Amino acid sequence: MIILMLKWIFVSLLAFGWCSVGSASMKERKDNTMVEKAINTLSNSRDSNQLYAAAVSLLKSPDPVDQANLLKFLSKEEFLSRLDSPKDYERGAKYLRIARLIKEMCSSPIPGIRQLLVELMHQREFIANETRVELLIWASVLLRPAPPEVVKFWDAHSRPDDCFAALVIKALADNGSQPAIDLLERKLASSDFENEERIWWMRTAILTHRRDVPILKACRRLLEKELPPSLQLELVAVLFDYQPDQWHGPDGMYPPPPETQASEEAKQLIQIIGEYALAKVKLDERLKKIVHTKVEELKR
Amino acid sequence: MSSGSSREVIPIPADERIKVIFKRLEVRHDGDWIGSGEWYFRAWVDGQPVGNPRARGGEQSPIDVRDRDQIELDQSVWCAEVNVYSKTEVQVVFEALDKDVISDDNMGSFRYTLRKNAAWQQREFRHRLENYTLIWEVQLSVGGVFVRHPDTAVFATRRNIVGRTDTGEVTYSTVSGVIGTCRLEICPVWPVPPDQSLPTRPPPVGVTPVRNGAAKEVRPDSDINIIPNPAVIPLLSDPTPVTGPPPALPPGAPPGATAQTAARIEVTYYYPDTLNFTDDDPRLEWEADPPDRIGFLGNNRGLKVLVYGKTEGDVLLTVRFQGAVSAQYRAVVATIKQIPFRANILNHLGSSPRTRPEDVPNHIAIANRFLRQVGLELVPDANVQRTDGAIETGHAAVYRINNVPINRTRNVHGSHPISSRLNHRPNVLNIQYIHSIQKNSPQLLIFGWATDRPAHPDHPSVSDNLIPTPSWMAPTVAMGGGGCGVSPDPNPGGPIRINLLEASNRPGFPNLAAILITNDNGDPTNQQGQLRYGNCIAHELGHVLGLRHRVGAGPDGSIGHPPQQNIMCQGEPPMVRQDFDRIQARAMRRSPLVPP
Repeated sequence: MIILMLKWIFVSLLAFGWCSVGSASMKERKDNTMVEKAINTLSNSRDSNQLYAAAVSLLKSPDPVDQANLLKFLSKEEFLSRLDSPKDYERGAKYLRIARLIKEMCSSPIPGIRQLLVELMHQREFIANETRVELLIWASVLLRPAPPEVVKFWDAHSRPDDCFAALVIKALADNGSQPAIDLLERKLASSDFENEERIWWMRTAILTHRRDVPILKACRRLLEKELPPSLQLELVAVLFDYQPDQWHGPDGMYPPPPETQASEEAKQLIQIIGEYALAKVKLDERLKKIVHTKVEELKR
Repeated sequence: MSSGSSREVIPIPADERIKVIFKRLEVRHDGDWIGSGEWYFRAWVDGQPVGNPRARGGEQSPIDVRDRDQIELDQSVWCAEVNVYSKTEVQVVFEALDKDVISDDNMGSFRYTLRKNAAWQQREFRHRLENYTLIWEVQLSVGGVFVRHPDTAVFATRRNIVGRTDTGEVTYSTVSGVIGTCRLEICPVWPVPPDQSLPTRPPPVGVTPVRNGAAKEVRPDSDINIIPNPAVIPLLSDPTPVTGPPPALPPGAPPGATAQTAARIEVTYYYPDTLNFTDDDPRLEWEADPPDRIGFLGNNRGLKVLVYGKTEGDVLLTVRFQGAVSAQYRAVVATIKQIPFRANILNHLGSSPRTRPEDVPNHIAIANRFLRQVGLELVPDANVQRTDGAIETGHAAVYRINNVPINRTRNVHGSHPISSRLNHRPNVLNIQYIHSIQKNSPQLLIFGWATDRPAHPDHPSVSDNLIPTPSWMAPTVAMGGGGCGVSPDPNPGGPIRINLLEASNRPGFPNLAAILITNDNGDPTNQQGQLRYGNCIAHELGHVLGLRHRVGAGPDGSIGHPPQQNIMCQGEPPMVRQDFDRIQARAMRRSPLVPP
């Protein structure tokens, strides 16, 4: 019921926005029949390619009513299973029409389209499928600053023993907005997750953003207050060292950013974290030397 | 034979012989006023006497001759062979004499000069003298045979040297005197990379090259030796003789060589196409150094040969074009070593691997066809002990684990994922079929992941100092620079070195070797999918045995050659990356996962 009400409010807001543009916009809507035809296709067709084309035509419409109509279809498993068959899902996300639609939403210049992504995150039938959840997680990187509904979605899909946590954590770091970093920090500090899991997040999500100021600030707080000693050591390693063979295996999927990208503020934070690590964290000799060298370099 | 204006030649033995045959005389005047004449003959070819005084027509066995007689000479006696390799002309002299009481009468003699620059003139000659006409013939040896050869048959060959540089070509002359230039290559990379990735070769001017080196459609039932020009020639027992019972092999002896198990070595490029070399062309002769290291299955002639190893070690194969060294191929003779594997299919309802137990043997069979190049073979682990709720599937060493937590099969991640050790056995290759590996975009495909690798005894690197270099790589400046040893190469370089992966073992599992294989490989049941799965298993096993990417993330430190065709090139499709090279073979076979 609550979902229905939210949906009604959303549609009303969209409709209000549309009305406020004035009747001129309405007149500019060149082809009503095209939209009707698209909706008719979405309602009845069993041809996946036709369905995809019709959905794209609605996506390209600047009319919020068309977007709301599309959302109605995307919220139903009945439609989604006509758009992509179980066999399509078996082939993988890359080959799904829904993946292409979400990509269209991500790249659309039309205001309000990205809000569709946020709406989909709370459509029960849409997120009943793991692949579609993954598509939303990947797309959520672009939703900056992350609204509360997105944070809620991330939180719900990064629980111990689910299969999305690592994707979400990487998306949080890639998103980089403060709400995302706050959640990342909470997850890293949570002892609900095994150490091995959290070490992996550090070696992927943190490593690939280890010169971003918000990430460094979160790392400083984690280091000083919330992490057990074994994880402190790993966090320092991730911030100062790079061991791809050991951390990621041969495929090198998670390279650190170039040091030249670090801002002055980031450099200051690195220096502070380094000095703290040398003073308070039990580092092995090799890592101690690496951290010391970096701190000395930054002092110069 | 002319070999071009400024070109010298390397003095190598070659079959460059001509044969002068005196065939018959047509007599006009026998030389005697009354009765018949008694003729005998004398001849010299290249200054050496021809014939036999006691043979018919010799001084001690004159022939009774009348006007208008035709005298047939015994061509096996009245002929001479001359090796013309270092000659520019050959003198031919013939004379007929009529035996007389006081002094013999000369019935006529002739002298003729055969010249190299006239291609030695393979033909029949008729020389008319006052008293007789002599019919004689010049034949050239081609492939050791003296007959009247077609004009286009190649008579002589020479390896080309310009100044002090071997051009990598062979100059040849035909029976009719046409001179051409030929080049042959036996590329060690299969499929053969595009020309721009290969050592610079002399351009084929005005002639068309012939190429051989397309990728193979490897299937589970393909011959195990389907990939030609392997780095390792397998050590095999002598083949079964064509007739008679097969010899009993001693215990532990490798199986006998067959056309399906011996290594295929093939010429990958030659010009000009007008030479029309065939697969068993007698003009191309192969030899090995050391000679007893390998045996040839069938004959040692042609564009393609089958070889099997007899003793372990390095071997250099050379193919000669009618005597002239034309191309060389270096390989290692070694035993086929077997690596036990077990496969586990990790299922979770709705997020299972697409691979069924019955698909696994097909994937392994294809992987083995790629691994044959390095003398390795995956075989089912004979130990059937199970853990982690694994169940048997009816296929050797293939197990299912049902209802694993979803994160053990979907979006698997971690420096040492738990998925890799489910129902594992130490010291075997554990192949874990899962749904997927964590990725950052739907566009990305991750086919596999080598998660656990034993320490390699040669870490951090291995090297190879023989030429031609592995994959015809040019050594980097750090390796000493220089060329790959394929002519023309004025500066064959230093050793080739590749860096190896560090060990990656989780605490408590020092002998775990494991790879993950995902649904991104596609449909595991059709030919295209099977090829991708098999190729992926070979690639990931390469990592487990210590190899880095040849091209891609964390590269092996070589020059990144070949650009796509090596199995360790990251992300290339299996119809492109099919090759392992010699240095990789050395490294892989030294891994502790490979039995001694």
